[in-house]
Amino acid sequence: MRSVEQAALAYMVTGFAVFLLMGLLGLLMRLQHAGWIDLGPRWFYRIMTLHGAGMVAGVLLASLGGVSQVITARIRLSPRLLWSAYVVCFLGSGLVVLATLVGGFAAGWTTTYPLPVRGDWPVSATWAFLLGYTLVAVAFLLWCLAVLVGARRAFGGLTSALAWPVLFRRPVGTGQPIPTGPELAATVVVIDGVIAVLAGVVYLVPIFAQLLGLVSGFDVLFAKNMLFIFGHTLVNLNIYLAVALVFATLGAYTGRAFKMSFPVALAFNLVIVLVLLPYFHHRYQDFAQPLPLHLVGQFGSYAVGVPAFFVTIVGSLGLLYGSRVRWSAPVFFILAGLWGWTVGGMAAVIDGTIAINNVMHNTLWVPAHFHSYYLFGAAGYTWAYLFHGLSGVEGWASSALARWLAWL
Amino acid sequence: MLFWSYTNFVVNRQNRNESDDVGQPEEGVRCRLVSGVLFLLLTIAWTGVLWWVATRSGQVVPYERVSAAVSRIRRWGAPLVVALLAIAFLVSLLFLPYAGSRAQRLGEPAVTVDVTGRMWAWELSRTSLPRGQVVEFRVTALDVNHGFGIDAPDGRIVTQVQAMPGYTNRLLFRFDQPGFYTISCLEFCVTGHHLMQAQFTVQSEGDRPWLAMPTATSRQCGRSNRQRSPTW
Repeated sequence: MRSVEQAALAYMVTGFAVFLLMGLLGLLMRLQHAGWIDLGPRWFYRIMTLHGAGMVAGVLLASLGGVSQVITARIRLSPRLLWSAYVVCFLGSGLVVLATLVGGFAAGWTTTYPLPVRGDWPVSATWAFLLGYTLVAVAFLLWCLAVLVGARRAFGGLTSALAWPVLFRRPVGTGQPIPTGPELAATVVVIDGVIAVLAGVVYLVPIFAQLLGLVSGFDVLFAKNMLFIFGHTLVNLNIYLAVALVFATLGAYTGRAFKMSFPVALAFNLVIVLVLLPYFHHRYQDFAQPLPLHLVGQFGSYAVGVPAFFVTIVGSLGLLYGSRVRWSAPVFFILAGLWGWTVGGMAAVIDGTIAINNVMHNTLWVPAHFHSYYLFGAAGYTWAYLFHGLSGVEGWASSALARWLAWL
Repeated sequence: MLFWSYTNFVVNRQNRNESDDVGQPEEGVRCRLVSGVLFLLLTIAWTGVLWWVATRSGQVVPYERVSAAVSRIRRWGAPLVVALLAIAFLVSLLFLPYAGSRAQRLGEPAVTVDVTGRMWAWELSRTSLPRGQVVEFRVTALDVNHGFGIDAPDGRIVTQVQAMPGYTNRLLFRFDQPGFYTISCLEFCVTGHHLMQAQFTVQSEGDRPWLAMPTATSRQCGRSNRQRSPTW
């Protein structure tokens, strides 16, 4: 088990195994809603907590695996590092499972402070859950740093890895490599990924300090801001990882390459900043938050969709149109992903409007938005890449049975 | 400056027009309606676009031609969408739910209600409110974050604000429809979250017992405001 390909496959298979199990937990919750079973509130909220945390960790792990395989040809990744991150992530996930199913931790996957320290579960469960989150974040950070170092080395500096020569129309020296779409997407993700993890550290350290009795508590508004820079950004970055997989998969079935160009370079460089801003929309109903931050949230919620739509989605449709595409399961998944990502994104823009959010915040609109966005987009794109990787363009994924199953 | 002048102009016009229109639908209803219709139309349009592309994906069109079309879509479409979003952004500022904005639109509050959320009950200093007057809720929490969401008698959510430990959030609202309003917790607060409800009444015109209600005493209201054991 020494190659990046093997590690990547382990990431994807494990990630989707977790995805399937968490989906079953989701089914349990819906059966409770329908009145078919009676879990009781304690078990329901424990399952809800694990479902959310596990889904994010599972899909993220699968996407990291897929992207590792796509970019490793030029951004060399160490198999040893990938396996180390895998083990760390596995341990962290195990702690989260223990904390919820055995320890009774049920503060929701967002664990909004001061809920983790005010619940009626043993403090050991809180420790296990938060340490589990810490380990998963460390695994993600390891991956980010590895890609960051690899990208700098491969392209002769971070600015080149971010396609600045294309962005600023500088003359490119002969032999100087220009990043492809997936490589640029991965570099953008890891820059924001490091920022998100740092915010997570700022969120978690005071809670650990409180659990140790070093502080009596800290500001809830500050905590909520740090929590959502971490959580919202992490989930949002997952979709950009999955976008790298769209570029890689769709090209194989259409025979067309997603070319690096000025709009692509501009869009992804804008995303570095824009993806950090929409998290404020989680805090619109915290009226104590200064108004300019609310407005930044609305600006970010509107703005981040523009480069994503006009570069990735329109570009992907351009790859498809008139390409005599080989219709197979991965292409169906990507098409469904383009639909769900956009529909979920439009729902996000609407809910990202402060005036509308006042009657929609924390209603069913919100899970409807992120389930369509995440399930079709992040999970769907990664699922497409896994099918493509296992089957190949001419393989079983092109069979009529696979196509019908994809439709289902 | 020009924009703020415009905003004040529109808001002042709204004040004049809405001061006596107690029967008008609230902002929340309008927001939901606009959102729902917009979302439905966009979803149908987007589904149509994808279907159109998918049905033409089996044909052969030179990629150079497609790339040129994609470039045109980006060149013209992106500025158009940015302009539409900018307009939506500016218009939406007229309907901000924050206390300062609502005071401008609805007027200064005539009644104040102190609200405290705690696991898993709401405490309100008043449980009977006047119809057609601006009410100010001063919302805080004792333990963890809660969501102070108000449902109209027909079950629609009309407004909300977070109840946060260490902060008092001011929520202004004018109730135009009399009846029983339900407060539901809209921020997950563990075991008894789904039971954390309370009620208050908006009195119809001519019936104003709220004038006699205490203003400083904190009291729990109604049967649904009692702390309940979270057993299903």
